[in-house]
Amino acid sequence: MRKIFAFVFLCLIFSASSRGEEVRVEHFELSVEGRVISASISITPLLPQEVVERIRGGLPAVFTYWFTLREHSSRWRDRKVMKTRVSVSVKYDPVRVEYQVTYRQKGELVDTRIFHHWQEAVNALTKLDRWEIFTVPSDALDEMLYIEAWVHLLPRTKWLFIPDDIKTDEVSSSHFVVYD
Amino acid sequence: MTDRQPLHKNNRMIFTVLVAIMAGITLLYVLILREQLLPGWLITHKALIFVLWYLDATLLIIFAFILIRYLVKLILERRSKTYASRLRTRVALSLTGMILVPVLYLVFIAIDLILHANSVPRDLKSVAEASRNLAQAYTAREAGEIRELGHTLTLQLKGKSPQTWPDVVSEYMSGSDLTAVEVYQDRRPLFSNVRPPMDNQGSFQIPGSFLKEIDQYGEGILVEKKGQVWLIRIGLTLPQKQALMEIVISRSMDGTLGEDRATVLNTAQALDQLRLEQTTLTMTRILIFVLLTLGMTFGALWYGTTLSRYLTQPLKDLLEATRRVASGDFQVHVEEAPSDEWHTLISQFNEMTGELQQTRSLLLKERTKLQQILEITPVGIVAMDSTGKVNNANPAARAILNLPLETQNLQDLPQEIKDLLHSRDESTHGHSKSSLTLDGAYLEIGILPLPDGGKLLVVEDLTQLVRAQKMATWQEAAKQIAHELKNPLTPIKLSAERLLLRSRSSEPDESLIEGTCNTILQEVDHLKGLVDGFLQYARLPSPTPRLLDIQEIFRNLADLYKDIKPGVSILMDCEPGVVILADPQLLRQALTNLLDNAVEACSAGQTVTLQGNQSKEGVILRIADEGRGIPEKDREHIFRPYFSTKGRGSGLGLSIVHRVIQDHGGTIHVENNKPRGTVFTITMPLVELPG
Repeated sequence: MRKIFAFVFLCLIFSASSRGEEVRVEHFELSVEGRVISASISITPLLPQEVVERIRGGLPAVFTYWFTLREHSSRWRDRKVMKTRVSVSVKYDPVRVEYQVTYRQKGELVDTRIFHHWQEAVNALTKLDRWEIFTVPSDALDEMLYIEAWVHLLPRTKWLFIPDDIKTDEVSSSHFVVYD
Repeated sequence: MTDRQPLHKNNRMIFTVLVAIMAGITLLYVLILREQLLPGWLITHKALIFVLWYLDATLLIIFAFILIRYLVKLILERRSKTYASRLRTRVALSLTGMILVPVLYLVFIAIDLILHANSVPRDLKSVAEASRNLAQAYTAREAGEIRELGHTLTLQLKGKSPQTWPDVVSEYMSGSDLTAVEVYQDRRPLFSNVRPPMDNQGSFQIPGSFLKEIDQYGEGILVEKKGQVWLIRIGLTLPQKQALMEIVISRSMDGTLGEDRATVLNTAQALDQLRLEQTTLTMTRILIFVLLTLGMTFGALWYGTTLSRYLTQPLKDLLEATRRVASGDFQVHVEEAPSDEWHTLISQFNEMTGELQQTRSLLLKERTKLQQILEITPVGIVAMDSTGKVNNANPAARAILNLPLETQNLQDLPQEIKDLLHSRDESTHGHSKSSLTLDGAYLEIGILPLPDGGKLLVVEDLTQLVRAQKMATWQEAAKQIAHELKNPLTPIKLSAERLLLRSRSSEPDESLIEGTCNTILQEVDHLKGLVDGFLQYARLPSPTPRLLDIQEIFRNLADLYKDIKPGVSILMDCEPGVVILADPQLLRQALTNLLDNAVEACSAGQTVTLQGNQSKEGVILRIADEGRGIPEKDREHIFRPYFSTKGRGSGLGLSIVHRVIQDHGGTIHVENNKPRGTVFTITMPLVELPG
């Protein structure tokens, strides 16, 4: 009896989460300078309707870019070296007719920009250009590394009340090595 | 039998948990109502709704599991007919239902209210939409006019030396309602012309991003508040060969239009946000109510099951204990509740079982003793139920009646006993006593009715006793006969010796010979009388009974004896129509003997009374005299043969009377008459006449 209930419970949990197909990562490129890794990433600029409505309705919208630095391993599982997130939030002010875009990395404020054109705001939300994401730690030097990235756009509910997310699939960069 | 938590401890625990759940949910609800108290990320990321959803789902699954488990348990208990399972089911379902039904009803109503409470009224929505459109149209018109002014100014500046631009701008502004004109070169301030309500300090504060957008898109619009004034600023590019130049033309909004516009747009945006978040808010509140309902349901089920268990467990224990007591286990002890109504009941039950145990031990002891007595007693006892089934027969009864060891069948009893039982069934329901001879054994049978409708048969084998009595009687009779025979033999012997002596003498004495011979003849006659009486007693015939009217018999006897002794009168007090079944000759002989003795005992002036009547015991015949009476010491011997208080006669008269009465199934006994004399009472069996 207990096993049946556990199975049903797990089915409910898994059914609640879904893989994003509405937006995807269109471009993901890394540049390495010394031990500093910068990422250029962009997602589909044609945003889902509910995201657009939310932004234009003046509700804050947060796009979160997730990056995970992994060390390739010949064994069954790659080691996670570091993880970081870059949050880009936007808030529209209809009185001033401006979009305030704020950049935070790991929760710390990095930059705030004001845009007066929708397209500029969309560009700011959907693109990160040469953004410094990691400084490779000593224990990962000379190792085969790669970075996994995905973008979370908006939490939402499916069937009115089941939690769901609008997010991209996970993409991986090509392998690289950072030498000391 | 079962360890139970005290109710007050259970109550405290249940109360604490319920209060904690309610407090938690209430706090959560208050926070939801005042969303500004919650951190922004909790709202925007829908974290709260996620948490609530998982809480609800988890609680729902737990609740469903507990409910199904409990229901299955109740069903299994009822199927296995566990004690008090029906009551437990009813109590649990009643309590749960009593709480659940109103709660569910209220929750459905609350959900309906929530669904309608968060929706923005259509009229308000239309007003907001129209207001926003108006505000945007106003902004667009203003921007259009400023843009036109800007383009005109740009045309005027075009082809002129930049050094003259400030004058051109100043002249242009004097002919328009513009508030400010700012000119940038490569996004750096070049010159500006500002008029009230702006001042120079407010110039050149255009954000770089705006200038960049102007460069990128050719123009841009900026609405901002400077001090108390709302400005609409239009940015345009100034096409120059050498450098990239931007011009920003600003105009203030009239009066309170700026503030009104801001209010309209902010309100419309708030309504938009409410519309966008309506589903989330509604679902959040519904989930909270569902959480609240599940918590209450969970608590109701828990409380219902706990209370039903608490209420029914002592009953279950008591029923189980009662079953054990009913099956003969009196050593059962029910665990007593600490302090409530059950405590009294259970303690009294335990006292009762203790007393039952003591009583049972005592009864067992008594029963064993009785069993031992029945085993060793020479009297046979047979117990039968109302259907005639033999329940018990002691060894003596089995031996006397020759019964099988484990007999339970009435048919196993001897035919004579069965006949006796049958005749008793038909005649009387009281105690009865009979004698019969079975296979040469002389048995005395007593039949006693039992309270449950059964019978108790008491069988006494009197064969040895009767034989001993007969032997003693015959010994006594022999002694009496010897004594009676010896008395006449002495005078005969003396007479014979005297005759012998006289015969040897020479002178015969005629008178002596005659006297001696007469004596011898008299004594021989006496001896003959003794032998005839004995023969008569020994040769008494078997009775040939027929119906006899007592009144008639007594009248004949009274007529016979009325003048036999002068001065003695015979009185007759006889109930008419009383009949008995008897041999007329034998009965007449017996009654004659008794009447003869009575008349002889009386003196002149005394009376002999003959009484006859019928009672429950039988037909009672009394012969009473007022004579000298019989001494107490002689009464028990008077029916013995050859016993006489008169000093003459054969001494067989009363023995014959006793035997005749006994042969007719009757009894006779003697007692003193009052004020004097003797009464012989004969009890003869009743006769049932047909019809």
